Formats: sequence, C-alpha cells, structure tokens
Amino acid sequence: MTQAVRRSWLLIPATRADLIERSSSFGADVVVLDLEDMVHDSKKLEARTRIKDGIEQARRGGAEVFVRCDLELLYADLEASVWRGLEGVVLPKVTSIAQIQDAEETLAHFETQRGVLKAGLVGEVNEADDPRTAESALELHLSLERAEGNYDALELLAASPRVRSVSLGRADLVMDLRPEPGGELHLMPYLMQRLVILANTAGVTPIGAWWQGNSRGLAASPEDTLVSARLGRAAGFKGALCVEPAQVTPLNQGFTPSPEECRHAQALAGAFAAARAAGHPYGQLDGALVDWATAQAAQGLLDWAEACAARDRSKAEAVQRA
Amino acid sequence: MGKRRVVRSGLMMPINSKRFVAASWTRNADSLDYDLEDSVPQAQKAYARSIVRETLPIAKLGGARVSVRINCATPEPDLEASVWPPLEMISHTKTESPDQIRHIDALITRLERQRGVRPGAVEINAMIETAQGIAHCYEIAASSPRIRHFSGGGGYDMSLDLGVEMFVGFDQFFYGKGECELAARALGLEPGISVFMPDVSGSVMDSEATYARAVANRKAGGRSGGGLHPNVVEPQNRGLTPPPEEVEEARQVLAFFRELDATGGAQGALDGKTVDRYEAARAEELLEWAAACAEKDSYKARMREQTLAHQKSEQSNPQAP
Repeated sequence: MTQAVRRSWLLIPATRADLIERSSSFGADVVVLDLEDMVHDSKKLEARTRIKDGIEQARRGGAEVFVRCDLELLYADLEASVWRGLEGVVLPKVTSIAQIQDAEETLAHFETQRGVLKAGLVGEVNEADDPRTAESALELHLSLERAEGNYDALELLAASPRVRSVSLGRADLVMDLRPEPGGELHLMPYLMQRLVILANTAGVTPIGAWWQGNSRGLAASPEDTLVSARLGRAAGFKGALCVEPAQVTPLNQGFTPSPEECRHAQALAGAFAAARAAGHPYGQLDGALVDWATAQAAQGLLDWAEACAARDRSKAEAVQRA
Repeated sequence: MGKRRVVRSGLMMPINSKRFVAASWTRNADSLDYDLEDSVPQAQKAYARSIVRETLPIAKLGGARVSVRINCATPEPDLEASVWPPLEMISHTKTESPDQIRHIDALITRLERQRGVRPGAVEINAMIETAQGIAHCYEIAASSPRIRHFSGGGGYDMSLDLGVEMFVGFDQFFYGKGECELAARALGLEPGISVFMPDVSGSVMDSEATYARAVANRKAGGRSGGGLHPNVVEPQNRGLTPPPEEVEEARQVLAFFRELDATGGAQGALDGKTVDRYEAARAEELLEWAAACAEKDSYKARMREQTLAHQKSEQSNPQAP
C-alpha cells in the first residue's frame, strides 16, 4: 500500500462555518474538524450539527477529513461524525487502551448502522456492501498529549489495527512545556525523538513538526512553521497538525522534498545503478561513497516526492471539479 | 492536599563543618541539606552521624526545610542517626533499584514511629545519578509514596558515571533527564524542571549566572533550586519568585479568560497574546506560586526574628546550663 501523503493537518473548530466553507481553498492534505478543545462546552451541540456538511465541504478541495473528538463525549461526537466522506478520527489526550477500545467499538457500531467505510481520496468509491477490512475501516489517529500516554505509547499504538498515525498533538499546552533559552520547548526534543522511534517500532506514521519555542499549541508564523516542518521531516515525521490556514502551505512545502533534493537523490540513485551495472559494489558521487543503503534512501525520497506530486495533482483536480 | 512546597534555594554542606552549620540558618535558604555523604570524609562519618540529631533544629532557626543526604551504602546507621524531629526529607544518592527505596521507606516508617515524627512526614528524594538509575527510573519513582518530587539524570555524579567532562556547552544529559522527567510526570510526581543553558565555567558561586539560570528556569515552569555556596542563595530566591509585573499580568489573563468563558469563547487574544484555558491554568499556577513564595519569605523572616530575639534575651539573661 502506498504511503498516504498527509503533510498538513489543519484543525478547524466545527463552529467556524466560515472556515469550513473556505477549507477547500487552503490546500490542506487533511482537514480536522474539531469538536474538542477549540469548541466551548456551550457550543458543542451546535458544533456537532455542522460536521456532516462540513465533511463534504472540506472534501471539495481534495482533502481527507478527520474529526477530533472529546474522549469524554465520544459517543455523541462519533454519532455526529461517522458519515460517508470521513477518513478517520483524532483521539486527543489518550492515556489508556480502554479509551481506544471504546472508540473502536463505537466506530464499528455507527459504521455498521450507516454503511460507512473509509472515504479514500476524492474520486475513489467504496461500495457500502464491500466487506469492511482493516484497510477500509475508519482510522484512528492518537494524539499523545499526556505523560501517561507517552510513557505507554507502544502499548497504545498496538491496541487497534485502526491506529495508523500518532502525534504529540498540543502536548506543549496539556503538559505545560515552555520555551527554553536555547530555543527549544522544554522536554519536547526528547518526546519527539522518542515518538519517532516508537511509531516506527509499531508500524505507525509519526506526525508532527519540530516545533520550537516560538510556537504555541501548534500555532506559529508561516516562516517558523516552514522551519519546524523541515526539522520535523529531518527527524522522521511525515506531516504535521496546525491551527491556522496560513500554516498549510509551509507545512506542505516543508514535508515535500525540494527540487534540489530530488536532483541530488536522482544523481545518487544513478551513480549506484551505474556502479552495479559495471560490476562494482559501490558507486561514487562528488567524492562521496554511494552504497546500497544510500541508494535505497535516495529512491525512497524520489518515491515520496512522486507521491507528493500525485497528491498535489489530485487536490488541484478536485478544486477544479468543485 | 498539603501546603505547596517552596524550595527556591538550598544549601548543602558537610554536617561536620561546625562553621558552616552554625551559620547555615542565617543564609536565607529555603532548604538546608546536611550531608553525610560525599562531602564528609570516611574517617569522620561516625562522628557526623552522632551530631545529626542536635543539628537538625538549627535549620529551623531560619525557617528552612531540613534534609539529610545519606550514603546509599550505609542507609541503616545513617537513618538511625537522622530520623528525628524536625527532619523533613532524606536524600538517597545514586539510587539504582526500587528495592533500595522500599528498604529505606520501611526503616523510616519504624523510626518515625519510635521517635515521634508524624507518619509520612519524611519525604524521600531518590537521586538518579547513574546510568543504572536512569534505566530503572520509572520503577524507582513508583516505589514509595514518600517520593513526591522526582528528577535526575544530570550533574556531577552522572558525568562521573559516564566518564564525561561537564560544562562543554551542549546538553549532554537531555536523554537521561527526559527519561526521568517523563517517569515523574506519568506517575503524577512533581518534575524538577531545569533548562539547558550553555555553561563552560562550572562555577558554583557565580551570582550573575545563577540568577540568569533561575529566571530561565522560572519562565520554563521550574520552581526549585539548590546549591553548595551561599552566593547562590539570594539569586535563586529572587530568580524563582515571580516579579510583581508578572503577578499583575497573570491576574489580567485570568480575568480576561473568565469573561471569555462566560460568553462561550474557547480562545481569545489579550495584548496580542493567545488566552485559552491553558493560559488561564498557567496564570492560576503563577498566582498560587507567588502567594506560596510570599508566605515562605514571611515565615523565614519571622523565624529569624524570633531566633535573634531569643539569642538576645539569652545573652542578657543567660540560662543555667
């Protein structure tokens, strides 16, 4: 299965009808309609009523759509969210397997009741009577924003086959992690590196940017977002959550290989192929050794760049059709 | 839930140094840590144990929290010597297994009972100073309810254990410190937040640098400090106490958030800065911390006054021995 290209995950409070309406113009790979932290308790009822249409509107730009649910209000939030067009659910502040199992069971309940399968990209069609497989069931994204959730990460990531990606969410706010003089957020470098290792161990995609002290709760200027995205990609993350539309383009950019990177990767792959064709074990490029691992990595980068380009094309087509 | 602990500054000294100990209560430190471990030569350890009981009350003359640092190799005689009123904490060095803590917890429990110290009053500071300690930090932190604060993974003994130089200008210990902090937070214990600041001097008595570090720690959420030299006491007291401007700012943030919340808003902006429930929580904590600091300062001042008055009256009317 090709890796999903989800470089930008834009959180939009479900009460922001104006933003949802314009969401197809932001260029996000993923739109996350929020029913949790960014929606006041007194507005939750109203927020839930906006989800069904919101899913459709957000998909017009070619985005995949997730909903972020409140763990304490899971049943009601999922009841409002499990509709055709939904890709998955973001679970914030996860700390226990029981919470994930609750989500699984409740999702299965509404999927069955409503004949809902994962949407896939715009243009793909899942038939309601296709057998539901792990591939077609709605996904779970775990946001590990508490210390307990991070500590037990490996266990949590293995708790359900629906879990395909993981992030630290807004751990800097939930765990109260503040900027240090060196420019980093306290404890975050440790948590980020640890998460990348555990996500890879569990076979789950790590999502996140290397947010610096100049960010707060996933918010940062476009320039700082680009820096954090590049650092995040270098650290092994594949995309990141954000809270402002202006952050979407820098995230897409930061998580996509640049043309120069692609040229260099092409050259590396070529050097190795040529060496092997001539019967040598290693290639050479500008005085540097090009071995099998280097060539594999270069090819991986090229594959990723191609996947990004395909995603951008499909989003552009969706916008044109809309 | 007890009163909030205030340990912005601490002074550790060998307990057998008469001069240091006699003056210790005058330094305005929030905590006085009398040492039986590395600063006491082996030949003096027996003597050091014999004077703990009479030394502990000296800390209270200035209103400090009083603790004793024991040897991990000889916990039994060290604790026998130390668990007397008004002891508040035992620091167990080079902790490497939860069994060490369980063992001293049981000893302390017996001694509290025998010596009339309130059950549970003696906190355990389980120090993580070796690679082994880091490897077992979660189990260690979870091993006793006497552990209420937990941090470690850096410092002199750590660098000794790893065979590295300290003060090299980059954060050599961030992984071990991260392991210990994650364990603390996952167990609901107070983490000890200290930021990384490049320091190539290794000075233990630089007031300016200490103040700057204390301020940086405070801003990052750190609330405690300590040290070996009187020069670092005041800079930490000042640096870790919120200044009036910040207290006022916190009040405004809270008032703003309450208004926002009452009108159904989850997020707003005050003076260009985001205000949400998390910012409100930070403001609340700051106000609580500022109040706790003020209370500690006034308590220390009262105790010092009381001690000086008592000493004066002793001089004019010497009591029969």
